[in-house]
This record gives sequence, structure tokens and C-alpha cells, in this order.
Amino acid sequence: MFQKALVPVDGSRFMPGLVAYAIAVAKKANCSLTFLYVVDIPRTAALAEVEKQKATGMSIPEEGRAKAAEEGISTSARVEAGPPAETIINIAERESFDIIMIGSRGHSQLRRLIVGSVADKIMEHAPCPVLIFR
Amino acid sequence: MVEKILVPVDGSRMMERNVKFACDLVKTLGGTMTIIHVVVLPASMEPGVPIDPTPLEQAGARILETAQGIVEANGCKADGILETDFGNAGHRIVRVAQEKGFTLIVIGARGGSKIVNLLLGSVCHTVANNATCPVLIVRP
Repeated sequence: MFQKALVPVDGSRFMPGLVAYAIAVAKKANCSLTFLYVVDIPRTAALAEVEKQKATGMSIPEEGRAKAAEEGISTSARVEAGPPAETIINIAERESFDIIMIGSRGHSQLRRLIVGSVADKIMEHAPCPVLIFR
Repeated sequence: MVEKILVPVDGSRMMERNVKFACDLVKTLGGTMTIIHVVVLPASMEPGVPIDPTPLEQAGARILETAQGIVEANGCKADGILETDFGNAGHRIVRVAQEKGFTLIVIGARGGSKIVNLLLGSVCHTVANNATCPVLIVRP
């Protein structure tokens, strides 16, 4: 029922659980997993700085990709720059992803946030079903 | 990972799509499916005047029956739970999911609310924010 799943990751301590869950779902659904890390950098940043941060950030989705590839899942890793929620939603829309699998919490230290601000925006505006992992 | 999937239904026009999605999902992931409807009682119109919940509960039972029909039409089987509560159905759904050990809640993004500019229905929002298990929001 899904062919393409988009899995936004952020390198936070919640990420390994999400990766394992996404792999378990992908195995049953026989879908591909695209791990995406979005570098949250102002639009005014110099291009060289953006490229540098994107190169450094690649290790984050790569960690997910390596784990999924070990399990024989069709998978890829990518980095984009921009406001995280908007970037994730735009990619899901443009590239017709069937589902977004996202962690309910990320890097934010605000423990009173029940759902992270990125996850919250995505579940409000996503063009496809959203699986919130916790 | 054996899935125990809880599917809240509300009798809205999106219910058929949501239940069909849940059926496809349970076929894909395996496991069991349970549908739940929460009858929401209004606060009393006048202080001290009790509400007779019977007609609302009967309407709720019909919603659950309709949903069962959709489940069967999609070649699946599901248990049904009918609950009655005040306020937002979301909190009751979250509590049932926790108490009965459900591993996934599949819920439609929008439900019966007439306020069309609400991006996410209030029940969906409550469930997504408060559930202790993963939540799959069916949309657009």
C-alpha cells in the first residue's frame, strides 16, 4: 500500500527508535525508505556555508540508510537546506511520497512540548498520511 | 512486532476512507484491528438536569455497525468498542489505547467538525499529541 516512505531524521537521541520502526514497517510493506536530514539554516546564509553544513549533515541520514540497506531495503539518504517542516512537506508533495514517518520529538529541550514543532507542522500540512512514532 | 491497531470512527463522511485505509494497513502489517466509537455527551443544558444518554448511545452503536460493515466489505475482521464520555473523545481514545495495549492508532485527519478551516480535527489533534503509541494520521 506504500511504495515510497519519507523518513525525516535529525540525529537526536530519538532517531534510532524511529529508524528501527521504519525498517520494520518497510520490510512488511515492501516500500523504499528515503532518510532526509534538513539543515536548518537562514536563507541569507552564504552558499559556501550551506554547502559545508549539508556535507557535514550527510552523516545523519546516512546512518539510517546504512541500517536499512543491511536489512535489504531499497533506501537512500539525502540532505536539504531550509526551514525543516516546510522543506519536508515540499519534498513529500513534489516527489509523491506515500507516507511520512516521523518521530514525535526531536532536538528541542522543551520537555513540555508533547509533539515537536516540526512533527506538529507536518501532521497539519502533509500531503500524504503521516505516521508519528513515539 | 505484532500490531494491535485501534481505529477510531466517528460516522463522518471521511469514515469509509479511513476504515478502508486501516484495512489495507492491517493486511500489510499483519495483526488485529479494533474499531472504537466514543459517544460524546453534551454538558447539561441546565444545571442539575441530567442527560439521557440512551438516544446518543443508540446512534453511536449504529455508527459502529456501519463501520463494521465497511471492515467486512474490505475483507477484514474487527472487534468493536463503544465508549461514552464527556468532552473530547480523543482523551478517551488515548486512554483505551494505553489500557488495552494497542500498538498503533490509525485516525483520520478530519472528522465531523463543521469548522472547515480547522486543519486537523480536534480529536485527531488530541490523539496525536497525547497517545503513548505510534499514531498514523490518514490524510489529505
